Amino acid sequence: MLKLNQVKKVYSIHGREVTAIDQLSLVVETGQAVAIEGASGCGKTTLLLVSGALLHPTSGSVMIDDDDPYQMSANQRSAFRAKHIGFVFQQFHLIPYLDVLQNVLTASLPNKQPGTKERADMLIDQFQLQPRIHHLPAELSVGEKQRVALARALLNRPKLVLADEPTGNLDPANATIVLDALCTYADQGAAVLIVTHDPTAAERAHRRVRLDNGQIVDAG
Amino acid sequence: MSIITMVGLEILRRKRSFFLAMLAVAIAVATMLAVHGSLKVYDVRSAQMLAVKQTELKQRLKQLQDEMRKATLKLSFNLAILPAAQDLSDWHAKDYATATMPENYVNKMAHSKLLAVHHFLPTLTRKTKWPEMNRTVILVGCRGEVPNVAKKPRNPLVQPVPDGSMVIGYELSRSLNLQVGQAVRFMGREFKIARCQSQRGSKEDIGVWIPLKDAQELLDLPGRINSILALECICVGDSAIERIRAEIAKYLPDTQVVELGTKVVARGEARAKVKQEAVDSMERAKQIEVQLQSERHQLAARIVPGVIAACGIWIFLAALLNARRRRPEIAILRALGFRATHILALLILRSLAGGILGSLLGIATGLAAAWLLRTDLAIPLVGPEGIVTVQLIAGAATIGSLLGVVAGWIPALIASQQDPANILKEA
Repeated sequence: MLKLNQVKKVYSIHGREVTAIDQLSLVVETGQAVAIEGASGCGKTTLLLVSGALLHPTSGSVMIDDDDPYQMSANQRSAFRAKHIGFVFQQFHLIPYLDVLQNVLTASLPNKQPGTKERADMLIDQFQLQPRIHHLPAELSVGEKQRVALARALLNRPKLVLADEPTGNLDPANATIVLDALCTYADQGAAVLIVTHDPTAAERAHRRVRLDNGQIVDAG
Repeated sequence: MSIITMVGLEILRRKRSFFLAMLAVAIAVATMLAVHGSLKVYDVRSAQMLAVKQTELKQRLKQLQDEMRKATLKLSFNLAILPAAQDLSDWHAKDYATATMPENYVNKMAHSKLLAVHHFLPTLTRKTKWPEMNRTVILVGCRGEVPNVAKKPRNPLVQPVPDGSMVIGYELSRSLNLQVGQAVRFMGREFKIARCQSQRGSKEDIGVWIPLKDAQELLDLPGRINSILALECICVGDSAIERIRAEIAKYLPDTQVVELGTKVVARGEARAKVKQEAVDSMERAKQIEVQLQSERHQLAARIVPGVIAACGIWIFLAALLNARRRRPEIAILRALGFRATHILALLILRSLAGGILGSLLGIATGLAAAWLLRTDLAIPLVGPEGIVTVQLIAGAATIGSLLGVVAGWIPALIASQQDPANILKEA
């Protein structure tokens, strides 16, 4: 499903080159939830952004289901992301002026499909957000916010879900709900990549990959 | 859910920032309408004031010319027709002729075809005693003006003395304490004082004017006069006066004509000068108004673009602030698959909404200001002849809406082009 081949990403910071990931190759199969572990600054988030067609690699290739998003135009890549990739972030990144339902539905705007509203309602039910359906993010707990972000990520039934520290701000109960949902979604035939430094979260994944200085030190 | 719904919800839940941008558009639009309205009101007021001034000036000029005509009465006696036997040295010394001529000479002149003269004034003048008052007076017998029948009738310069009445000079009325309406006896005949002249500082201050017939009887000179004054002669130039003299001589061969021409020229010049002064004064008033109008329009031509530019900068900064505050939101939307054009639309539609609503608010405020400025002017608020035209309102609304979009364009473009990965990494 997700194939990273000899991917390298170099940033230029104040004229100095910093290598975030170096010649990294990784395959995440369909139906697999892979946890990427590593210390802060080891290149986990860069790996996630490169995998999500958001950050162009300096070299190497990224294939998602036989498509290389970096060979596409910017608009095609946006459409590709909308259709095939779901994101969950530690900071949730909910739209502050939209309520729960509207936040979930934002994922459908670039890729309108029939039955989106019903699926949004189903996900809201699944993540026990029905009583909060018309609440704004400012009125939600952190656990609820992350469940909204998760529902939004899964709305379009993406082939690939990328989660950056999804349980970083959550209590154990909410962390369990989120991790269960991600693993269940992988079991249903998607590929899930979870970036975390929480060993408990990593244990729930089907496979654990350890990253250090931008390179895989343990492929799991 | 649609992008338009998102724009609406963002506006509703971030009212303050939206209102500030809208206010800037409203100020720009209201300024356009109010400045244009005030210019129109000033122009209409100025035109009305000028029209009133012009009417007043015309009336005053007419009045002034009439007063001038009367005040310079003597100046228009450009010809004195005297008996041929009159010694001119004596005439100059006494200011009246001692010799006499028949009164019907005046009728001959009136029926002559002498086009140069408007009126003839026959008089019989003598210095005599007022025995009842023991005063020396200049007695003038007059019968009013005899118009030249060949000329278009004009208002008389001298009113005749009514029968049984008398007009007396200032010095006599003052020293003898005579009042209008008082009956007095003059050389044994009773007269009622019709008017007391104001002070003239001449021999006229001891003048007594009575009907010609009475003067002839009292002086025992029935049917006689001693001068005919030809009034309002058009006799400018040397050759013209010689022609008139020759013509008069044809009708009245035993008379002589004395020219008072320099006086009529002075009178004509004085009247022309008064008229010219009035015309110049009106012209100056018009020029001042045109200059003031031009200065007002020039000032407006600087103020309106200045206000629009300032409001544009204000909207630009507000849009920039809004876009900066929304960086994480824009980044996640890009991650969710929103294209750069979607982000641009999200921000530009917000600016357009601010432009449209701000324009409406500005139009309402501008019209209210124009209404207040209009006060007592009887012109419509809106219309082709109104303070503001429909085209101006439409133009202001278009400029206001465009101002919102144009000023918000660059911040929206910057926001739509930013790299979502950088923002998400920072977050």
